Amino acid sequence: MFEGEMRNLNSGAIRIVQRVWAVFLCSLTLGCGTTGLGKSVGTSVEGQGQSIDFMWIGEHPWAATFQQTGRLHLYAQYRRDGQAVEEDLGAGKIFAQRQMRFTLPKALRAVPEGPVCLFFGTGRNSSAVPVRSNSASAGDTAGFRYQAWEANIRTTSSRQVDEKEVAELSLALPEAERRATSETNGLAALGVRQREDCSKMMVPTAGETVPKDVFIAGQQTSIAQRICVRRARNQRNPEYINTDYKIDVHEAISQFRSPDGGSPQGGRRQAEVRQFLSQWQKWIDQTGVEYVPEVGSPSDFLPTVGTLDNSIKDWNAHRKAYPGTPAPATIVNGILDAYKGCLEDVSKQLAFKLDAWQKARANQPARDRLYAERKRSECVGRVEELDRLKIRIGELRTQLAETQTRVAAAPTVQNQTASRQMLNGESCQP
Amino acid sequence: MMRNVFALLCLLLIWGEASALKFLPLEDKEGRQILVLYDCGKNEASETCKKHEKSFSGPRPQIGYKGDAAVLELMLQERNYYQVWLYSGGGNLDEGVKVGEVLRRHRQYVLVQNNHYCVSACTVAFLGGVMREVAPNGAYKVHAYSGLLNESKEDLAPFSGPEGDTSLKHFVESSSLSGVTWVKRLFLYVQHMIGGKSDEAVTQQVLADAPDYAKAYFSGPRFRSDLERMRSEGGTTTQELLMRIERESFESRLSYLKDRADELGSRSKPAIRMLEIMFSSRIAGTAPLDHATLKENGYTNVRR
Repeated sequence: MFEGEMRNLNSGAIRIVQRVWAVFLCSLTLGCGTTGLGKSVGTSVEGQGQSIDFMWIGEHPWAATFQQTGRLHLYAQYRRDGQAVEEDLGAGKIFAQRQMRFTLPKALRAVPEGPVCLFFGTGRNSSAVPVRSNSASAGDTAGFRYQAWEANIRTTSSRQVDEKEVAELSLALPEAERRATSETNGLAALGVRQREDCSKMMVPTAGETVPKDVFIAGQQTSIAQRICVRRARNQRNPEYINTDYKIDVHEAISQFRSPDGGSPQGGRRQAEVRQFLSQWQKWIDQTGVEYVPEVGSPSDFLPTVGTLDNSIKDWNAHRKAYPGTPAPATIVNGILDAYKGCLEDVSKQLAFKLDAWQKARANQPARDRLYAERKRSECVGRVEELDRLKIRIGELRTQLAETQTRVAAAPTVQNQTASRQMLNGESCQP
Repeated sequence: MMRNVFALLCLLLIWGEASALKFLPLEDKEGRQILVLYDCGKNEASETCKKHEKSFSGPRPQIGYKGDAAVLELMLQERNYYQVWLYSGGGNLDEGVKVGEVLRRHRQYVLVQNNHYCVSACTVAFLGGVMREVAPNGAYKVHAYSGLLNESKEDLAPFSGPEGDTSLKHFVESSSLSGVTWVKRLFLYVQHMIGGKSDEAVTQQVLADAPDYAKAYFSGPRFRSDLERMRSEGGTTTQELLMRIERESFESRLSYLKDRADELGSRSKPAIRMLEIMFSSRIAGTAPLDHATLKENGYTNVRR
């Protein structure tokens, strides 16, 4: 339980745990004063330059654990902004028999306030290793200070934090300036220099151009005829149609003689034939390569029903044996119905297109107004954002200058003494 | 045969060919989850497709298939999708309505992607999307329904035979009933999908007041003249005339709803207009709707 919770406790609690361990160690060895462990509980901690050496006696109960490279870590405890911070300074390496060396960093992650307490542990969430007996400490058995290093680390850490800030500000400032320039230019292109200009800004509106597929009612009949003549023409075009179903509509209808021309049915069909031939004559020249239909595709056919398609297929098969056989009445009747159906459908579709365009045109002023309102509102938002950006640029400039001054004025790091210092003796409270 | 024709009309009004869809979950370029509903053969070799996977299909108990709408419901219950893409030539109209209802229940964003098409029953399902978009190069194509698309000359022969008047009479009566049923169903569906408040009872009452198409047909000259044309010209003309009766039966009721649109709740006029446009082309003359028509009439409500 201790090990799992220790890192979450405050420094007072940590010291209590460490004391418990020191008492435990002393009791194992029948009293610190009468055994080989002594006041330093069988350990020695020495600092020299950028390293700390940890040494232990062979009888130390954790000797086997210490002997494994990587098992023991050095930790730093300090305060930053009033909060306790714990930082892992890395694992030690076996340097000699029962001696482990820890290389100290040149800076900590933050600038420490107050003392930097060091202690050893066997990994994250592990116990701290006592380096003095309970009787030799003021309650703290594991923490120690290395003041020669600590003096420099404060300077270096502070400098490193400032340098990092300078680097970040040096990137943020030109980016903010670039955004401000771009936004200023963008607004200037709209004639906007200040918030009030947004309400006077010109917003383009949709034009009044009539789309090429929209025709007034009087023109729709002619357009429908041209489209349906082209669709009739396509019925013979092997580029578009399976040859089993192709038919030269003009030829079939030209050759058609109603079997009962005198009857009402026959009379009506003859009238439809005349109408088709006249419209074909009128529009066929305008259905060539330049043809672009106002509705549908250039490859559309007449809307033929299934029984007509089957009759055309049968007729084509018959014509292979008997070339020149004219299309029977059932086919011509079907084609005439399909042509008429095409005219009806296309006329309706053209009317719907006109209607949709008229609706769009009627709605356009309202849409233009809404669009302009939205654009002007966006403009105000952009001007406000630009103002905020300009304030931020000022702040960044000030902050950068202050930090650069601090970096320039930072004291130089002192050369650390090469002599070894015993560190076990003095306890430490962050 | 006549029984077959009526059964077709009553049970399986087809927009396109009958069978079922495929459902493909995928990720778009931004890594968002998409569900594609498509006709089998668009994403794999056509010969690997089962017949029932090629278009919108209702339940098929004989093969244990619960219908496209039921499959979609399960998939949308399982997870939410950023968009549902429709890519189909259509199929069973009834299932198209049900798929649209599922899409609406799950508040889906429906898209016809570039180079994809949505035709016939698919266009009805599309309206179920809360957000509806057709990409600039996507195609939204409409036509009227028909139960006679695949009839043969032999199927149609009774209309020009000695019992032709009976056959035609039954057909007109059946089409007339069917017209009322579908106008009511599609009107209420579209009105709801475009944000209107529909009232089924009022719609039912208005349609009950509408002139009976069959009665008008029989009392006028059309019954005799159509019968004579079928007798003298045979199968092709018969099919054309019967399909015309199907359309007229629907259009006449829709036109009546239009006259009394003010009684039918909010958004009734745009709903009727959308149905008019969708039924303006015969089934053999499927027509694409351009983006202005889609936008101005409320088929789409998302602009890029």
